[in-house]
Amino acid sequence: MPAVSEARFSVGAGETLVLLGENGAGKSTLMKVLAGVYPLGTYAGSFRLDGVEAQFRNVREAEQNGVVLVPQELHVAPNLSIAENILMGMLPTRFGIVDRAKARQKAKQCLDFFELDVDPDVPAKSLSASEQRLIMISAALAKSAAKVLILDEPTASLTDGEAEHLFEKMEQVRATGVATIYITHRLDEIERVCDRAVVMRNGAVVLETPDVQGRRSEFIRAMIGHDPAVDASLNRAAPGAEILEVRDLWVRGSSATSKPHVCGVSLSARAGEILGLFGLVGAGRTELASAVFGAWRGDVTGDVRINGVAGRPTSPGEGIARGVGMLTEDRKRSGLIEGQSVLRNISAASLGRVCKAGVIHSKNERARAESLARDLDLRPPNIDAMVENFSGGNQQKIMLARWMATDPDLLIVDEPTYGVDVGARYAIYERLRALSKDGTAILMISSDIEEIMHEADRILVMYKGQIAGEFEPGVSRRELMAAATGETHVPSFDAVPTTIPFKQEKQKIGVAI
Amino acid sequence: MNGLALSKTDVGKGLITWSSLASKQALAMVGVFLVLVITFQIMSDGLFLTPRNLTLLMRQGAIVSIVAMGVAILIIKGEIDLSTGSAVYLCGVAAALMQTKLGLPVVPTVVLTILCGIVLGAWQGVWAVVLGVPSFVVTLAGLLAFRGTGYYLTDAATLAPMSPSYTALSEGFVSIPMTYTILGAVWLLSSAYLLMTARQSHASTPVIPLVVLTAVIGVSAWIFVGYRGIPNAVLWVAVCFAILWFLMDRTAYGRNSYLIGSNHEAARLAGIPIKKYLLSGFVLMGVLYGVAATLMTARLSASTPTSGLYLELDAIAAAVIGGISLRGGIGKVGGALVGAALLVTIDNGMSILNISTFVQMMVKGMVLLLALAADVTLNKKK
Repeated sequence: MPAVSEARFSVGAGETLVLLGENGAGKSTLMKVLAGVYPLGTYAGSFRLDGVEAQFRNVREAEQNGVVLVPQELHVAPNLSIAENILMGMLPTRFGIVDRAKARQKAKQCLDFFELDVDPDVPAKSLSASEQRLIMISAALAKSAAKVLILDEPTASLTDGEAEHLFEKMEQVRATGVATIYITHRLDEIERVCDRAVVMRNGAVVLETPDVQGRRSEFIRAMIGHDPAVDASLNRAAPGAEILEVRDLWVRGSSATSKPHVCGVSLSARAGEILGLFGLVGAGRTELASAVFGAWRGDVTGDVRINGVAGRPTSPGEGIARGVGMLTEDRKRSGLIEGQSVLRNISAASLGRVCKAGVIHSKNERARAESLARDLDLRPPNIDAMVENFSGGNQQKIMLARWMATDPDLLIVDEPTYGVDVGARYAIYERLRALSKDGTAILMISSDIEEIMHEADRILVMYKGQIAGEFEPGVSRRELMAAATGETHVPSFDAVPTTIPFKQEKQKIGVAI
Repeated sequence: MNGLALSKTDVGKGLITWSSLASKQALAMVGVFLVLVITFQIMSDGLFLTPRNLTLLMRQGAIVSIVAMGVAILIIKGEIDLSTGSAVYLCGVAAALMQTKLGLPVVPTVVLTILCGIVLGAWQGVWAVVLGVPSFVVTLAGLLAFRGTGYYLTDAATLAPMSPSYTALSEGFVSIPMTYTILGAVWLLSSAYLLMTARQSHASTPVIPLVVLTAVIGVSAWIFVGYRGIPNAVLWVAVCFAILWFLMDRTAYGRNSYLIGSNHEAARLAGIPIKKYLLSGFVLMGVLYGVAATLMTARLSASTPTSGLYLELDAIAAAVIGGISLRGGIGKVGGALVGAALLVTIDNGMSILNISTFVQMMVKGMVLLLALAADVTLNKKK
């Protein structure tokens, strides 16, 4: 099966085209063809650049001709300097020796374009995720006179504030006459940054629209091929007994001098409730959750009460035994166990439940994994396949299955739909809702404001390690963002529907161009 | 998945592929094995495939087999052991001292030798796991220090002789009737197990495994009965293998070991107590030091200063050849056994052909390189 079978579209100078589609729809593959990652001869068909047929044999040729791809995964070398990262592969040299002064100057130019006030000589790891994304874009632009800029899910790891920053910079790039192809899963961004949309499904372009306003449901239908499931938030259960109670929790790093990540947080979560925890990256949400689960390596003080039993778990094993589960944020690093089968991944946190005297009862284990895979609609439903062969959405279903197998009373899900396609996303929301109805307390950490607003029964916002506010589901985006960014007073027009402020901004930009 | 409009994907669909029966690497190994055996058989004018020579081959391979299984488990957990040769030597010194200087009976000697191994394993485990020094470095230190300790204790002299009953631990044979009984029991139990698991998973009768099992038992019977029965050294290996296979394949301990080797952080967050598993891995390795040292001292009826030299390299090579990936989390204990068999076959065959040991080392080096290259190319990450 070819990954892309029929695709046809165009994009003009100074235009931003959004390319939509579920994971596996062929978006990235198509973009890799344009960028020379898949060289001439591995594909059929043709594409033209400025009216001339382009035939790239490698990435470098594509870059020289002005087609630049910024991939979804950042290829940042954390310990190298910012300048070295920007100029990777094209460091200026004199007589074979790196010309530091020139490298510094070139890097500074790139940083100035995005008004990033950082020292190009400090290690890249000192930058935030959005700044890293920006330096990679500026690096891409620096390589040649870019004509086509392809951004593959640039906001997947960014918070809304950081994404907004990126969008402003994208407008600057667009103003220089660059055609941008923008891949995203976050439908709320489209109206903000894009002019036209192309939707792909199963390797083919299924929808092309001349504008993007008010077409969200149309896009979702085109992406998944049918109407999405009914909004799960309609059938909320009444919250029951208190499962988690946290009082005055402080979380610090392992060294004595490090500043606290969480400063005196108190909160509680009830059975049958999805408690949303919103905030920017670095607000201390993950650290708080890790401390409750027992996975935090540093110093923790404060009272934690789980299921009425006082005491904080001191290891993940103890956390699981006390009825806590935690779906971690970084699936690849701390969730998936690659090289092992789905079965083994699902059983990882609850093997003891299918063991007798330490010996695995393989029939029970398989039956349990198969029923979970069916329940979550794992595709393909093969529990003996290796996890790395599944799409992002299905990998996340496997991770959810791992925690469902532990039968938790409190399930913490940290960015549960990060890098997950639309279809699987609804499946995961449905599952979480069903779990909460069955009496599980769910603590959902998310930087996705839509997700928090739609899926949570109650929303806590964290800012700089503290709870900055508690909200009901009907809250406006502005209020949530204001709390998450530490703004003290909320402007009075926050009752205005969410799309309007963005439309106004958009028109402003239209005049500027 | 990644190619665009590639046309080769439908080839082989619906056929029973070889890879569904066994890993590609295992099959490649069987191929190499057959070629070697046939070559040796022809070139030695039929001396290689005789019960006498094959029995000798197995006795030669016992020590490296046992150590290789332990190293395989450590590699699966994501650690490594470079000290095995020296550790086995030092345990052997302890055994020889107990036999020659203290005159201890056989059983206490064996028990104390294993205890000595456990101490060495635990020592390295504490450094590697509790203090977090990379096991590569810890066991490199062990490689030097353990042999040094042995030389210091003995002035690098040979300690001999052991009592005849001690020597028999490795060099004795199971009587012929007993050999028949053991082989018959193994055949019965294994077939029953195969049929039972097939019925449980509602699969058809496992014809191919049954045929292979019967063939292996038949050939074993021919070898052992054709000479003097099952060598005791082979029994040690069989018992160790049975225990370790069960441990790694059927228990939660084994399963979690694989998970730790595949993704340390994810395993920790799934509630698996990593340190306990790693520490116990080194202690288990220590038990195997003791067993290997007992076999080595018994086989030579002495502790010699060169015993165990390069054993660590043979053991790691055997594990890698047998499909244990150095990335951790991949491979089977049985693979290490097959890898050890291949190495010993090369040793034995080339000795029969009077090829110098220098050339043997060159050939083994090349085999190790080929096995690693096969690991890299066959298990390439997609």
